[in-house]
Amino acid sequence: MKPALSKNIRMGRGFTLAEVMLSTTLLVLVFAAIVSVNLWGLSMNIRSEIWLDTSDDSRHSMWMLHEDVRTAETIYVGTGSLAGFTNAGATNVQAGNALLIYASTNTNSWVLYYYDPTTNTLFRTNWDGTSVGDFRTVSANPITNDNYIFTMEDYLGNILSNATPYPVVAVYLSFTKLQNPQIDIEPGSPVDFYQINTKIAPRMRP
Amino acid sequence: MRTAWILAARGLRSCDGRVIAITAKGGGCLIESCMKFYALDRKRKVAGAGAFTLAEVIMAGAITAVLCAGIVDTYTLASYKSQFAACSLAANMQAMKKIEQVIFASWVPSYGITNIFNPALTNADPENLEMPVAITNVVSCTNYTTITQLSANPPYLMITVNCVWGFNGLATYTNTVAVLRGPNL
Repeated sequence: MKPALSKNIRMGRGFTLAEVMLSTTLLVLVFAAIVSVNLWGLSMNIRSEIWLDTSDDSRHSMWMLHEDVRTAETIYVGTGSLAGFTNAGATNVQAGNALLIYASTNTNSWVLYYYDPTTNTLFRTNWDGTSVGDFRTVSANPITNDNYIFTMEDYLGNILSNATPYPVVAVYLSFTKLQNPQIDIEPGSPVDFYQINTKIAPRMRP
Repeated sequence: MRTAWILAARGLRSCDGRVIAITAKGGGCLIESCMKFYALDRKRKVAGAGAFTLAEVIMAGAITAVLCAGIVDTYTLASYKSQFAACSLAANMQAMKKIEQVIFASWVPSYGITNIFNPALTNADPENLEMPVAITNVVSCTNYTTITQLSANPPYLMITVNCVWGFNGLATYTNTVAVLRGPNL
């Protein structure tokens, strides 16, 4: 009885140094593992967020542009802003950072896409002939101006050097920042390159 | 008496089930009822309160390992699926891009204009999927275009673009977009 009683009492009073050190080491290891798994899960979550949100953003950016170009009666490419639009000229290379679209033969009604270098953003605005149209951000992600955003091409992908009312419109957007999550696109970042390069053909043909 | 309460709380009882009475005397403990003592469920108490057996430790470790593996697998699967969804959407956009180019080619059978059957349009077209990348994770794809005239009267044809892309070297997937097109008016 005595050994059992003394053992009980000893166990009730405390632990040996070896027990404390071992249990502390185990606790530290377990805690480090939990923290590591959580951090790893967080990084995976951010990666998933990047995949899905950029896909969502690109769809939202492009669907309106697709609709406008496909239903266009006449398309001009050139330079422009809210102050006005200047087309590339009938005998020049058909490329620029602004796109003017007439949906019908009525030239009082139009849609204008233009790149704003101040905010590095592509905007869309329109005029319905009687009142100010809406004013929307097509791409809220800052974009670079390293190449023309809009280019007119023929059916083989050659850039046109003459204006034509029914071109294939090639769109090039190269982004410098993601919106959600807010990540700068640069070397060393989780994303160092992201662009959208697409083509849209008007359904109206000669 | 304080010690007696502690011991009683620990389950030390006499053989007839009564809690033993212990009094403090001269700084030590004396047991007044000299009977046969034993700890009720002693082994279980010691195992539960003081330490674990090897079997318990191994069981707990195994359960923890299974749980951790499940969590890691879930994260991996979620990431895999989201990347797959992004790749699939990007492949769809690549196929649409090619469709838009081909659909624009002129085709006026009555005037003999058959630009749409230009062989350059049906060449294999290697591209990269347009999605956020970081140096090494560029996903390449190839567009295969077929143009088939389904009927001469009325004239219409089908344009099919297959965007074939590989996913992490694990498998190859194909996104197909097809449209029916009539001649230019």
